Amino acid sequence: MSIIRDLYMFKVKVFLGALRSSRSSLLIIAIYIIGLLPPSVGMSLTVVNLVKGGIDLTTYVDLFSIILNVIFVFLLLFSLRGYIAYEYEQNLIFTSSVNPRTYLLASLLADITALSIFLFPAYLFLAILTISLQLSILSTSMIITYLLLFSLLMYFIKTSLSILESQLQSIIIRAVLVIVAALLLFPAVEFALQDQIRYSKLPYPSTLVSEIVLRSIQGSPLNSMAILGVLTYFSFSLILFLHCSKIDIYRYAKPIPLVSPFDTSMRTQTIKTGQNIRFFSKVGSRINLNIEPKSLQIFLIKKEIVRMARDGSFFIVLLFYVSLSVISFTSRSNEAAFPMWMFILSFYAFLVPAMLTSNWRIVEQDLLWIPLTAGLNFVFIAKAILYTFMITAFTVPAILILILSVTNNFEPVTSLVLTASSSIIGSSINLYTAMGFLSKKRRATPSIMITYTAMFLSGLLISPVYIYALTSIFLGFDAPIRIVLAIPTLAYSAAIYQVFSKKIERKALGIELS
Amino acid sequence: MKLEKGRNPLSTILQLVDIWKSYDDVKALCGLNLEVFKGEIFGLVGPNGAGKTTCLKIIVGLLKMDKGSITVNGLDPTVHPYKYKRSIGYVPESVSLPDYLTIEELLIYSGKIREVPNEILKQRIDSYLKIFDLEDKRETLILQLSRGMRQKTAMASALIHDPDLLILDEPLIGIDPAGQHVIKEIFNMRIKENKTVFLSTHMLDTAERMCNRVAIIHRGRNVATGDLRHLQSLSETGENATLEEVFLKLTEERGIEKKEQIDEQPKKRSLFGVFR
Repeated sequence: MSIIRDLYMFKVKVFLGALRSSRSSLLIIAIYIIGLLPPSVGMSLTVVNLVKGGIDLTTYVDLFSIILNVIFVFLLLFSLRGYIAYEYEQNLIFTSSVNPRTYLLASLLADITALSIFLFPAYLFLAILTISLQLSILSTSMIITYLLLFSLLMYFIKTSLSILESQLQSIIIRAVLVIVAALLLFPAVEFALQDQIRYSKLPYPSTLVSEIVLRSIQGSPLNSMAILGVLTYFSFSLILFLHCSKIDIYRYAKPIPLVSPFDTSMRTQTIKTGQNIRFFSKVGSRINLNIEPKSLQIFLIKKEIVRMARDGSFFIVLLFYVSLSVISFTSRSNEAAFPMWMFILSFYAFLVPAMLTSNWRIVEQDLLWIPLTAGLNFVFIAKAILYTFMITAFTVPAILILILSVTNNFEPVTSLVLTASSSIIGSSINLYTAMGFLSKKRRATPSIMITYTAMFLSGLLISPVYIYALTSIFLGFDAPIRIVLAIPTLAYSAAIYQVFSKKIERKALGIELS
Repeated sequence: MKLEKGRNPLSTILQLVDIWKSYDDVKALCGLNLEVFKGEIFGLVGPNGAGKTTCLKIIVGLLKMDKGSITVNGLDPTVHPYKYKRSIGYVPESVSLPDYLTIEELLIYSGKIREVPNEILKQRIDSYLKIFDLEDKRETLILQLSRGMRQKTAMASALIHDPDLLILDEPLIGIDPAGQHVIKEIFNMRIKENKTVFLSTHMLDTAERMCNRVAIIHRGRNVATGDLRHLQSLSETGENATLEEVFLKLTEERGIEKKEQIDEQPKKRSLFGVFR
């Protein structure tokens, strides 16, 4: 027992240590908590009103089951990777005499502790629910107990399947995982299609837990069969976990180069970049860097394009815009909402340089010695990066905007001007900020902090362009007026580019690498 | 033993005069003076923290010095920064290379940014891939290379513009014996072409075997420069002394000298402290 306690304490300290050591980790948590505070309060008040108005148990069992099953499937799909262990665990624990079961139990306790920090919105939700609906202590305890049992059930099954996947590396395990995930989600699809098969009609663990929780909220008597069912499922998952914990997982665990999920160190990012290059270079190797371009500037731009194709930068941008365009397509039928979607599509163009610059910094920071010792004016390199960022940040959304405009008979001037300005200003500011953080004293600053700084500065300088776009949309200017107004907007963007490209040049000339 | 005795220099390629560099309160270089001649292999030796890497980074332009002057081939980096750098090829100690490029792409990139004409670049890439036994790996991503292969790739990249001065920081660390042999061959080829190799190392046997002359630096100062005979006489260690023995004798003396200086300083400070 003392070994479990010591291991648990050690793991928690490592977890909290990684959180404390990086300001960016604390910032992420702060954003998480602040960001989830309003929706938690809003959701709990909505639920309170619904319950007070009287709810249909069957429908809400279905809805609550969907949420629980989506989380469950998400965790199950993680099992496909096999059992993952942090690097320090492999170095310190797996080489010691601690047996796997002890390690797994300590990990379980440490994970519960870590998770409990992030369940802050859930506590708030439950507290508002309990006070507003005047729930009894017994009802609140039942809700907490059964949600905890369901969480443990998910944890046990996910961990057990990860261990089995690592040990057996069998297609059968993967097939079972996919089938289970499909079975768990099938009623959700049926619900969306308004078909017959519903969670409320199936004895899924989520259904039984949902029923217990909702009955506890309503204050109605609990179904003893549901309680028995949950306990049976839980016992089964516990037995499976205890059985799998006998397996020597140390031999099969895959390493993950993190100290904790909040490790944002440069080393970790470099390792992640290596993994990205290994993956994306299979696709990106179709674009080659050859000797042909006679212009050095074009050669350097091509080199940046090759990098972006092989380190995953292009993929991130494409994924970002594919997600946005899916949402935009769904709103095609709504004529009133469509201009707003086009605005959002253009608005996000300022985020693209932030993503690209962050990746550039991670990949290229340690490689700057090559151009800096080459006898080439670094301004050539800085301009190549700047042009590549601007081209990417403009081209991808512009193509999308043009397609959507044609299919929806929408006039795209404002959106294109906003996209062009956002990409020009965003790229200039982000690269300038990144260059500023290359100085000796600031090099260790986490990427996320640099990105926030650059985004804040970009946001300030892009605001006149947003004013132009929003005024054009809401005041419904005609195309000629919008085109006339676009001229000073683009001139403003060009002026920002001029000022900051000069600043980038000055920063570039002062780079020192110790 | 390679360390030659009484070699006549033809002309100076690298000259460092009174170089000073500090990192915050730590003095890395304190008035360093050096002169390196064309057609020689020159070694910069010294213990860890002596200032070797700082010195190399200042020469190649990665760090700015606080005071002093440098010339390579008579070119002052403050006047001709780009022409100056094109005379130099550099391989750092812990080589970071763009993992996303293939070996051939890196060599193209290195040549292009040094404005090597395309035709010459193609020939040199083929030639160096052959010399470094990397021909069958030319389309392999650098990410997939072993440490030794990365070092060889970095060396090829540093030589692609045929620099007059090749600067290497701890060049033989992590290289297998066969690779070390290739590097030595390359050094000899450079010497025959009257080019210069300037390397820093703390492996004294390497310096003794490979270099024509060495400079021993300690705590940011040049303790002694010359061939082995000159250093033996300077340290009074005798004709049969190895470079290691010479090095230990000279750095020990400098260490005592320095320690005496340090011991004196607190007394002065405390005196000022009393009157303040």
